Amino acid sequence: MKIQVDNENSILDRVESVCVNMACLALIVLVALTVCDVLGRNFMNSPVPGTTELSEICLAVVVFLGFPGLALRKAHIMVDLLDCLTSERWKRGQVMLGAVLGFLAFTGLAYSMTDLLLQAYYSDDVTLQLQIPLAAVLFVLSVLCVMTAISFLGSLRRVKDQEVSSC
Amino acid sequence: MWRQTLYSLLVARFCSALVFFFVMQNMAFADVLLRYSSWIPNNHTLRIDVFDPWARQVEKVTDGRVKVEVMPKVIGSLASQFDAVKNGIADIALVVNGYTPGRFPISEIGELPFLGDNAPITSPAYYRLYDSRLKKYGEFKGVHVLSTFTVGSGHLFTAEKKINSVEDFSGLKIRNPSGSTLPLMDQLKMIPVQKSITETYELVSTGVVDGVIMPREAVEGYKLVEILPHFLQVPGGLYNSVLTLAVNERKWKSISEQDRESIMEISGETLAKTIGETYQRIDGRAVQAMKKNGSDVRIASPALTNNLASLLKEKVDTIWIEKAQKRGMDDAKSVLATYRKSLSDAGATSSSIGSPQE
Repeated sequence: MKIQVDNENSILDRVESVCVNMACLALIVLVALTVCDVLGRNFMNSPVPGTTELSEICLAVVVFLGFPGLALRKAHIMVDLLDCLTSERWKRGQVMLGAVLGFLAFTGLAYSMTDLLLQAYYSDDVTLQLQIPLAAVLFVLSVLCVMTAISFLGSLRRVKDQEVSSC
Repeated sequence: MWRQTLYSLLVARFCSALVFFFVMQNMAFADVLLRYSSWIPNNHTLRIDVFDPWARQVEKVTDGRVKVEVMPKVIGSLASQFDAVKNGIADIALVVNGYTPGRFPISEIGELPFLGDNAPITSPAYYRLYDSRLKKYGEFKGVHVLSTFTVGSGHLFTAEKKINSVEDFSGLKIRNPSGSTLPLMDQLKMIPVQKSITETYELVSTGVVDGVIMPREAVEGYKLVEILPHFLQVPGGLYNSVLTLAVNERKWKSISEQDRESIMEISGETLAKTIGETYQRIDGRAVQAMKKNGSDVRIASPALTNNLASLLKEKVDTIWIEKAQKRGMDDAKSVLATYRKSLSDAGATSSSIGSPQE
């Protein structure tokens, strides 16, 4: 039974592991960039060009790459003040409601992101120093929002198997 | 029961009539309310001497039909002011063109080196140029431009190094103000560091940068007088910044034509001139503060100025011309040549430090 459930969501699991690995990579890039920039600036009088904007992009990408996994594992913060009074079934309902709300929130976020993306695309927005098109960055973030929304839906199927904490 | 219902209906009707009356009365007070998203601090001279009086004047010239409400806090980020106005989140905002690189390449003509350091001349001249030659390329689609202008010219401030020759610029780590100044940095072999101007004190004191290029007033505005004791004024200025006061297009069109005309009379070139005069005053004040501090305040020698000009003018101009041509401005080269000539004829470059009234 357990194996079957995992199979059902295997695509999402694969997506999640790719995202997490990429987030790790982006973090390493971020660290390397900062180290090279500081060393270059202090010892060779030549900082890495565009460090500020690259760091900003890396940071945004790291955060958004974490979202699909967060949705799938239901790792977001949930606070239940009345957990002593409610039944197992009720709690499962709450977790499911949380997933649905997460789905709605990220659908909305994806929609707004696409709006920003189109705006950046049509006005040729670029970063200051390296002239990286902002539309490309926003495209990646929008795709990650959509994937997060899907992951929230995928997480619904796993509620049954999950342990629901109680006091 | 029947009477009670009738009674409550009457009360409800009376209340709604009352509400309607008050709403109508308020509407008669201000036909159009323009919400102005302002990021300039409340106690800044530009706010006190330029924008707040302008907002009051708008109300006055339209006999109260148009009212400008300065919002207590900026709406959105500094870089998103243009979008905020375009999308109607705010009605009016002051846009720093350089904060959205790639969006307004044509307007970068006002940011080129050696255009002038006499703000009362350069600021309104830029508006005239915009109105006659740049407007038609539609860089500000979706908003109406109330005024657009350059501010005080940018010069070099350093913490330790005295600059005597072009070679002295080479290798300096300098905070870079905008995208349009990158070619200049490149030509002078300076190393651009991209950080917010508000971080300048920290950047200089920790040695992340050796200096900055910025308008003179900023040295006082950001309390950098003591930390940046070497000042080099380059006649004509190393660069400038273009700012635009924009209003949401739909909101603008909801104002009657007569009122729009009255507002433009106190905006456009008039406002640009006030900006220029204000900058001259605060730039002069900053130079005084530097002198009082005992700073090394100098104007570049004619030899250095000539060397800088020959190194910068053509190269940096060419980069702008190519960018503008890509946006469909075929006569970019001649427009720039005419603009440079009209500015130098008008005496936009002064030979004294700070304000000429000293």
